[in-house]
Amino acid sequence: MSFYSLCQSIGELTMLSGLQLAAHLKSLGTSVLIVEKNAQIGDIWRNRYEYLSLHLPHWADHFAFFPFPERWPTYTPAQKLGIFMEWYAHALELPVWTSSEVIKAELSQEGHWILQVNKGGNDVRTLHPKHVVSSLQS
Amino acid sequence: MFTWDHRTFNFKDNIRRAASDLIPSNPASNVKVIAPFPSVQSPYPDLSFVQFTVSFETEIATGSAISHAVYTTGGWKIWTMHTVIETLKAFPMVDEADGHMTGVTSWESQRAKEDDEVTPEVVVIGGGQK
Repeated sequence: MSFYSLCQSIGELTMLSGLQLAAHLKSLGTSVLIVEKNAQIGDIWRNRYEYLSLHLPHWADHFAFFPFPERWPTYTPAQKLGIFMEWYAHALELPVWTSSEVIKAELSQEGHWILQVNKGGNDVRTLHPKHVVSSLQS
Repeated sequence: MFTWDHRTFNFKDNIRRAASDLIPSNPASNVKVIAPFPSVQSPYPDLSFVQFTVSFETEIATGSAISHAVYTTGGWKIWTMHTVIETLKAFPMVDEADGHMTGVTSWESQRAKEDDEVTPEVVVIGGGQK
């Protein structure tokens, strides 16, 4: 049992749910793909204003499987968090397509999804996942 | 841990009724005190509570709970309790990769291939802040 999994649902970073959901699914042996519009994972925090730090101490914000390391600053700077998010995706080997967008989604008669994804602006791929998770900024 | 729904119950009678209706349908067992071990916390001069953490299981899942108990004129009461599922018994975690490269492709080229040729059961749209 990991104390971090206790904490992760309490802190302000519960909203980084796409990455953590993908990590959990992968740990259960489920094939998963993250489609990310930005050029890099973490840009959503990298591109915020330069003097922004998170408003709460990081100890309630640990990520599943890959907690912040020792000597991490109390209040995580926004750009540092963006970098950590990219580390997270790399460290846990999460399949990610960046600069990519879902351009069409429909449900087939058999009940699976037919997704058209613009992959990196130079390729259109069709995927047939059982489940689609919307983890967009709201 | 006990239902798949989020619902709010207010006041003692309603909480008791919800607990007595719901918990028997998905009973908890094998309750154990785990680390971090019980401690008395006094963040303010007029507030003290005992914090304790337990693991337990239901028929389909294992979980843990972190609780704050306060001693009142009416005896000990649970002030807060937060439960979380740790594992689903029917879906155990897969083992970590061994990491030795014994096949014909290296880790690096295999990773690139996996990313490119993935046939996902689940697609997550958005790897940022929701």
